[in-house]
Amino acid sequence: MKTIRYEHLNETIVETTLAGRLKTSYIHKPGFSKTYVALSLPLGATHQGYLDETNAKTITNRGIAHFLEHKVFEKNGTDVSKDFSLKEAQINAFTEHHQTTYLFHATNHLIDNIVRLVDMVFFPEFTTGGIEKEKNIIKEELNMHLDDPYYLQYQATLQAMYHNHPVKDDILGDNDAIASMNIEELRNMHAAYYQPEYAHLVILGAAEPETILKTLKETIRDLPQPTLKKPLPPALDEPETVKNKSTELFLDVMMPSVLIGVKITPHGGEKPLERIKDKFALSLLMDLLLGKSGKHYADLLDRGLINDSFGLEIAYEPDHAYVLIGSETQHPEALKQALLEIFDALKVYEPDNNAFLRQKRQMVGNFLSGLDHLESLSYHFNEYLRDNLYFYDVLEIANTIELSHIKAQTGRIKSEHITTTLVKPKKQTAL
Amino acid sequence: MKFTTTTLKDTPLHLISTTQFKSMHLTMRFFADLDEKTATSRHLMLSMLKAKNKQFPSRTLLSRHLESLYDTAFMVNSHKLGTKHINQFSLRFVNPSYTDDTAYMDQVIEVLKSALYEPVFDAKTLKEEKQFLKDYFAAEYSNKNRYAAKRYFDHLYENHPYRVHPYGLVEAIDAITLSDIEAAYKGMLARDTCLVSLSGDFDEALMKAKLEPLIRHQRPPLEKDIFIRHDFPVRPKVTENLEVTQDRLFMTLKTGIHYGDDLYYPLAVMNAMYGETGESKLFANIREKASLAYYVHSAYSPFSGIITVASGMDKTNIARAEAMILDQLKAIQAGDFDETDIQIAKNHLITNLKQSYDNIGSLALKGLRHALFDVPFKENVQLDKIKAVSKADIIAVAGRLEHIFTYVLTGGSQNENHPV
Repeated sequence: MKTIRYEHLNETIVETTLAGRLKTSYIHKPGFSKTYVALSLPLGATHQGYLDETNAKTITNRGIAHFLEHKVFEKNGTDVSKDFSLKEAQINAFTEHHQTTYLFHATNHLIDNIVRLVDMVFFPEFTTGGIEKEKNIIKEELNMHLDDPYYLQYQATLQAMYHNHPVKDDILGDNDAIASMNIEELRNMHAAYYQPEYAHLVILGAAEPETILKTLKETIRDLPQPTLKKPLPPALDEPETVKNKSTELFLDVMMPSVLIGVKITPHGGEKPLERIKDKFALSLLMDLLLGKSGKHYADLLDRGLINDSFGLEIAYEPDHAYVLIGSETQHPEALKQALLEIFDALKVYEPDNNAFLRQKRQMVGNFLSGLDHLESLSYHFNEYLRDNLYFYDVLEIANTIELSHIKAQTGRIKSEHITTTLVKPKKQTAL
Repeated sequence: MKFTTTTLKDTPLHLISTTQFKSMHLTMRFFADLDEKTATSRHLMLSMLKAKNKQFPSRTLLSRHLESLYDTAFMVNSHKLGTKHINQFSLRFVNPSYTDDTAYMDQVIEVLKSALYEPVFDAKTLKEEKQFLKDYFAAEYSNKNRYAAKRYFDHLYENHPYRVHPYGLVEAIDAITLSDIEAAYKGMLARDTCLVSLSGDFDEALMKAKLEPLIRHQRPPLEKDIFIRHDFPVRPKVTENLEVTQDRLFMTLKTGIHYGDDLYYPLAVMNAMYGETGESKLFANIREKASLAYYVHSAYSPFSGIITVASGMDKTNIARAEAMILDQLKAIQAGDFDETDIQIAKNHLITNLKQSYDNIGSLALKGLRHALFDVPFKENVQLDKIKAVSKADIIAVAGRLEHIFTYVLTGGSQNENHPV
């Protein structure tokens, strides 16, 4: 076992490997009542298939990562969630573009519940009958999203940004893909991606780490045999430019809204430290440019072009990256124009040093407060583990960013990389 | 974790000291009667107090100041609780032990003090906040889950004395003047009852002294009986038509049981078993067995005594789901459930209760429940009461439930009102 202590943050991590294959990190959080446990697998919505024993490529149905996430809960016709609930634990899962995460929080029976989680994830027992029943449930999940104009606007923006990359497709797939799910394909994807060597178990709780990890090592000895199926790396044949520069959707809303997508050329999988520094620098640039303390935000507010729904989001993966900026607005055309002009003027943009110094203080506070939330801490901890970094080192990394690095990011934003999606009211039908 | 009650000039102050958090949380709540004539101006006034003040006379300056205070979050919100309208101020900030800045703690409290006592009520800010509020109500239409819930509550609470949204009425916004705002502000300071809470790792005597300037004069004591004792009548079913991909179904069960009543814990366990968990009767039958819906759940409001069952599904399945929802209630009334079902429901409540102490924001809410309803701050008594609920208790309390209303938002036929 290895112990890592961050004295200035008063945080301790203890690490080990279970059955020689499943890396496990325990973040000690004295004083908390619940223990939070998360297990992530590197199968996400952007993975399009697998490589079989001969290295031949098989392309699978869209939405298979999400469907598999649902099916893992089936143990030969029954839902294993009940067994967690009987042991004071609440289990859940979610699928993203690049990974699937299974998680529970428990106020008792920790070892029992961790053993159950590992068994559930690595030894699936889903059935053909269970798969058929799930199809209708997921169809209703998709229908629920299709009623959400913000979801539709977001999907339309991804579709407009990307020519080929599967990030443009709905995580749930579509009705045809869902209807085509079959047991063989699900088993093959599970075999290719749900290998302990690819996973990481993260535990956050108050119990003594060494005691828990010792017991887990003694209890979890059996993990699935390695298979010869392998993940299929996402294709990277994606142009730098967006597919469409402008989309208009007429939906059943009363408030129009604008969403700008800025496509960023991804870094690739090499040199993760450099990639993370670039991500921070880009994030700091966007905050300086459009954050609440800046003059552009004040100006947009003064002109009545945005309201308090205005927000920014950044995705920054090795194979795809983008920035989204959006707001509800009564003046969608004027807001679109104003935001495009702000991006046009980036070539002469000079970030302000006083604002940058404030940002450094803000980062410290934001980071520290985040350590109080076990769910988001486990998420970020796992996120940086994929690059063999510890989340606790991230603040120091962010502090090495200089103003010149932030300024250099302006060159990565070009007008042919920007798409706009406007949602306008179809008709007034409020009851 | 230590919970201490004291006062700032007769205003209750809750000090919740605990070592596991790196941040601290300060809340001030102002209570007035919930009234549709005053809710809009109270909420707009609150929004204006957050936007700027004499020390920070623009949104930008205030935002910059909060950033430099290590990302201090200054939030406001209006709520309703029973018969009360609550204007709430919150500050979430990093514990001073993580900074070398000796002026930091005082500067954080100064943010709230300036907002409360050095207001700037100007025409420009009022115009902006009015527009934000109108946009908020307009945006309710966009998300069909949210809009369906709004229409359901509009019908359920028709003619109810406490139907008003805590943000007020959209039709009242335009007429609000700066005089109305100033009157609402003066009224809040002069007449509202108040409760202050501080959570985190701190020295109690030191912090109490630092918080003194937040209360300037004596206030009336908190009222304790704030439950809505208004009877909900049986209503004819309402079906409304809108372009939706998925129909939304809501059904109301009247209980007559409120927070603090003897039957509160049996009802809480019963509702958890009925429709709160992934193993509940509704979820297991309507989603897992019949595959009718992605979501189906029942929510119990202990301040109004109402249970709402909500689900979304294809229109062809609505009638079948309505029948199944009532069938599942009848099954519980007939005792058709076992010890495993009860244990899962209890575990759900037990886990939620235990882990609510892990969220620094919810500690102040516990203090509020203690002040209003005499609920002990620590969890032991509540845990014992949950564990003590028996099968007979659940059957008895389920027998008191009455189905009084159904609402459907459908992408199908014409709007219609018809008898239940």
